[in-house]
Amino acid sequence: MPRGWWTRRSNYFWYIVREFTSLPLALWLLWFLVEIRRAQDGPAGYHPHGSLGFVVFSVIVLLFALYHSVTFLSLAGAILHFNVADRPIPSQLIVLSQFALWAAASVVVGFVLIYFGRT
Amino acid sequence: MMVDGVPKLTCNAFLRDYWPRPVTVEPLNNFPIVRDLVIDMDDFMHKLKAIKPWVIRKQPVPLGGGPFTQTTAQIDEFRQFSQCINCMLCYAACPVYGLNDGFLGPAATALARRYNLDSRDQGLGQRLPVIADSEGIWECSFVGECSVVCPKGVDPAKAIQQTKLDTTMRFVLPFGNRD
Repeated sequence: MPRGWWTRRSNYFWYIVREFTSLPLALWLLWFLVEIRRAQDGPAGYHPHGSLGFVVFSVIVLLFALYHSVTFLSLAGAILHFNVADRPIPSQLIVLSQFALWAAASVVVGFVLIYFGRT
Repeated sequence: MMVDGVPKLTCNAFLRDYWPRPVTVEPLNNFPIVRDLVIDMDDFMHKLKAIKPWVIRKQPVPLGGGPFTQTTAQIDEFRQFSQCINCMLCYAACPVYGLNDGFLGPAATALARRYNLDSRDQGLGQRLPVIADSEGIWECSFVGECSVVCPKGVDPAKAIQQTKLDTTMRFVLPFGNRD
């Protein structure tokens, strides 16, 4: 395979982008663990990392996370295979259910973070 | 063959679709070239044979025992994966196979799934060591291009991902075995 194989077709390129998005996401999550460690002594001694560079990095990582999640969940229809009354469930319905679960999980996590963050 | 860099069934490709641009025709990607447009298919044939693409029974059934019967729902389970014509376009499109020719590859895995889903077959246990090998399904990183170039709509990428899920469930839930 030539070194630049992934630039030859758009599908290869977007596949590499999909895989690459995991890397900055992993770095951000590592930083998130550091922040949790720093916050263990309570709110009095905690000062969140709020530099412009970090905010920009976080926004980029958020976009990467959304791209990765959307491409991942869109592929669920090809992976999951269920039969109901001997008939397969349409893949579009499976994909839709994955997005619905994602949205529901985001609402629950958001609620927990905001509710317990205030108390 | 490769037509303008894309794996194509050339017996089904028409010059009118490319006219008036010049057309570049090359041998299939990812295979050793024997001469001109001829490629060496040996690796693919070995992989095809390795997954035992035939109905396997634990106990031989006598010929006088009558035909196997299947419902349309049982046939629909594997019909899509039985449409493969072994054209190898999926192998030419697969960068994983291009980087590691030890990879079992899309068509062989799709065919293995075709037989594993067949209600008459009891050979899952014999195929599992090949398809769940380190160079089997787990090498696939779901580029998906195999399914894009497939001229018969077999969707080998789907077959591989479903096999990954099945083998994982088989590992996690041993009571779900079927063989």
